[in-house]
Amino acid sequence: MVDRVLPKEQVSAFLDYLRRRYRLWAPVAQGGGFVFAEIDHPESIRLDYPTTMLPPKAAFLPPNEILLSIDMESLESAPPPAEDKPIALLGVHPCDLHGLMRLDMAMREEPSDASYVSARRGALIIGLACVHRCRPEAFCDSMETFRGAAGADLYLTPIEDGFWVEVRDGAEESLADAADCFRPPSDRQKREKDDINRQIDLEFSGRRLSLETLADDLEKTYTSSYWAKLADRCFSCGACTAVCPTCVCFDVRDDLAGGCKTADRCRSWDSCLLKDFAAVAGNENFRPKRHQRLRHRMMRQGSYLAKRFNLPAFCVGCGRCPAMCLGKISPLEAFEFSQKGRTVHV
Amino acid sequence: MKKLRVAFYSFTSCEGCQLTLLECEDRLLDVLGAVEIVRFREASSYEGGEFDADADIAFVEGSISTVHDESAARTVRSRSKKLVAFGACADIGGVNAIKNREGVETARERVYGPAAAWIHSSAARPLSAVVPVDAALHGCPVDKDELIRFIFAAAVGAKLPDPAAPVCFECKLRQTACVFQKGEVCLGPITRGGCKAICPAFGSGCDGCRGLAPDANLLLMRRLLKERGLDGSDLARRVDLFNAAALTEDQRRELIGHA
Ligand code: SF4
Ligand code: SF4
Ligand code: SF4
Ligand code: SF4
Ligand code: SF4
Repeated sequence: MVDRVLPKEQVSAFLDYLRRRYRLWAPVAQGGGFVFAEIDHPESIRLDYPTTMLPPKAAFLPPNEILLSIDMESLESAPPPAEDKPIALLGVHPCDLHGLMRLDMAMREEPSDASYVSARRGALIIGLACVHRCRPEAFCDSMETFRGAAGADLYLTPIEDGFWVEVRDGAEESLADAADCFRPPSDRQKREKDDINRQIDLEFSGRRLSLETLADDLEKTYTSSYWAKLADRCFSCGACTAVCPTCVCFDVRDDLAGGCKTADRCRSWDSCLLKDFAAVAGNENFRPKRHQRLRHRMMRQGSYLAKRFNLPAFCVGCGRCPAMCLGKISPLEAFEFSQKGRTVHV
Repeated sequence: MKKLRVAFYSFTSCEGCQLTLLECEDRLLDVLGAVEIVRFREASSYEGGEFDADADIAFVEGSISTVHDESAARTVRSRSKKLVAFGACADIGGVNAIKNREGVETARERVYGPAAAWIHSSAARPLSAVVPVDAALHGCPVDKDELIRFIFAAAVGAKLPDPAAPVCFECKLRQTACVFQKGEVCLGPITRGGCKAICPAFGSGCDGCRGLAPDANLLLMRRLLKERGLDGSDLARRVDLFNAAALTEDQRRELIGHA
């Protein structure tokens, strides 16, 4: 790890560099909120954003994509033409960095996902520290995902003169042409950065879970009547998984196009909350009931994938799902229930 | 391979769903390349009988609200291998069914005045109330992309799966700020998606034109709407805009509080 400072007056030169070399994705304002989008005009970038509607995962795993097009006469098939430049994701908050790392584990698990791997190839991930909690529903403190740097090639912390930049070992060379933008940090800047880190630790000191035992505690609630009660507040709408940085489930469907001359193999995000998600041949459904689907999502976030990938949890506590859910269902509440045996507030 | 013979018919409706197909301008030649259209009054100068063709698939727009509709629907059914309810009117009764709730007689007098006695009309019903239906395209009007995909799939003998996700799911994928959370009323959480959440995307809450989503949590919807100040007859009006004939009595009781 090398420490650098990106002075305010060098930021626009650095953005120009990024745009020459990468397809730059960053947060911009949209419809009263913020979204990650490919940047045409650097002045639209909003590094002061609290959080985005969809997570940055969409850069590598788009909500809808064509994996393959098949010519129905020759039956030749080809993936869509590759993009000319890799993606640079700028301004990724710590929870989303942890989300991207989990996404990577799931998508690269053998057999790895070809389309994802190709979209992710050569990407530059630039993290951005959170000094304040982005929204009251966020529980990155409890999930211990509020600290960054891991998962980022560069990790920015805002300081008075610009940004403190932690450069991951091995990432220096992706900056070679932009080396002029960066300065070695001064002692004063170092003290400022240490102060900010202390502030961050204070801001995010409200842990409410014992992560070490969460995966086991949660599984013990499997037969509890808690889930049916919680499901009274659930629409089975899938909004929670749609906004989740760590949900990776998708559907694949062949669509005919151009008067049936081509068939496109289309992939789109799916959701385990939806009624048809676990429907199989013979009119069977593994999870026909709403509470079974809701329980599955919580188990998946707090236990199943945590165990599979040797993590404390898969959920990163980004707070998107509790903020979006009209029934105000939060994984934190389910996780807490498993550890405290609290009754559900309906 | 012989092209699929496709017919379009229309009963009690505004004919907007047929128009939706005609508005797929850039894809019309592709459609004609994939299927043979044997009847389509709104788009042709054919002046023969309306229901005199045999078809592999008939797309039937409109609800059933006259004896003529009813007998024509039977004719179409008997001359078509597959029948598709084409749009909300045919699928769930749609806007025409509003009159069912205020009484068919009252509605007839309001619309036809002194000539009311001359006109026959019944409660507006979905196509499936009269004849077996093989598939439905939802929405008022139907979604262009879904319609085109449906036609191409049918041309090769396949059937599109019915979307199961409520409107909220696509609404999130589109990154629309939730109009419900902004304080308005939206039926998206209980409504079958597939429309790409077009209404919230343009700032207006969902009116439920695609009918109920599978497993919709009606009690929860009612509770949240009540918190929004929508209750009683106002709630019934909102629901009845498209779903007056679409809900069972039990579902109405859950959602509105009375049947
Ligand atoms: S938990 Fe909330 S967001 Fe998720 S499906 Fe249920 S109601 Fe929708
Ligand atoms: S489950 Fe909810 S809080 Fe956890 S990572 Fe996903 S969206 Fe964020
Ligand atoms: S569903 Fe709507 S657009 Fe289609 S015919 Fe009926 S009223 Fe018209
Ligand atoms: S605007 Fe309506 S459809 Fe969209 S998320 Fe909110 S409640 Fe659901
Ligand atoms: S948002 Fe609702 S009313 Fe609007 S098109 Fe979709 S289902 Fe119909």
